[in-house]
Amino acid sequence: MPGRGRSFNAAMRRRATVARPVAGGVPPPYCAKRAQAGRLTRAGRGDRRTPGNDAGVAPITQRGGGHVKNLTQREFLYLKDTLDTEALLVEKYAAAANSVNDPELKRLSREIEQTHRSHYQTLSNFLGGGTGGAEPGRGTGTMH
Amino acid sequence: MEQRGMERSGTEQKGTEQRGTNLSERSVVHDCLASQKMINATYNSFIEESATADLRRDLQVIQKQEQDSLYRVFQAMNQRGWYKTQPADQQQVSQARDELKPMPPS
Repeated sequence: MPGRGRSFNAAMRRRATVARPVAGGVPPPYCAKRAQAGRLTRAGRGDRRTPGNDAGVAPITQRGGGHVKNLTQREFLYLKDTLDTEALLVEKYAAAANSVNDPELKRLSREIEQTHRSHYQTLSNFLGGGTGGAEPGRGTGTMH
Repeated sequence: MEQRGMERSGTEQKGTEQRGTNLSERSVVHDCLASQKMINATYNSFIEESATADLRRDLQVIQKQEQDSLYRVFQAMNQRGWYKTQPADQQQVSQARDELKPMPPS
């Protein structure tokens, strides 16, 4: 399971860049601009600090959306948990949309799936723009 | 709505086999409702513990959206008779009103 998060992040990123423009009728997430900015800074993720190595006393300094963000350790821990939960809910609503027959419920599930996706993007920006180690081509099967 | 509800419950068993899942349509939506409640509580705690202004602001926007999603799921269930609500007992309401304590003067 430890590798799952990374694969999922890769899948999320791929869908965010590839699949989102296709999704018609879904209002653009309010964070679309920032998500875009985050993607643009991802090239420099090599010099990003690893949050997990922080002692927990000093605020975590990270880059995101073109400027430095300072998170408290507690915020960082909540952020990690909440990212996992949002990722889970993206999967859950995708599965729900596939399993129901009622077209209204299907549409509702897809729309809520998209909001969870945008929440994931917004939150991941606070980790410094990137969503973590990219492993394209691995683990996309967990999505659908 | 009524007809749809009956149809659903009648074909639930067959439908789940076709879809290859153990959950009925109703259970799937109920699970979504439970998930929305859970993540709502998560954001509530997160905001309480949040000290960074722009993070906190984004969290509040997100939480509002989560609450809206929760309400949409509830409405979908309510319309299908899967989540029934009951009006408050008017006798108890008026009794509670009679027993209201006066606020201390400010």
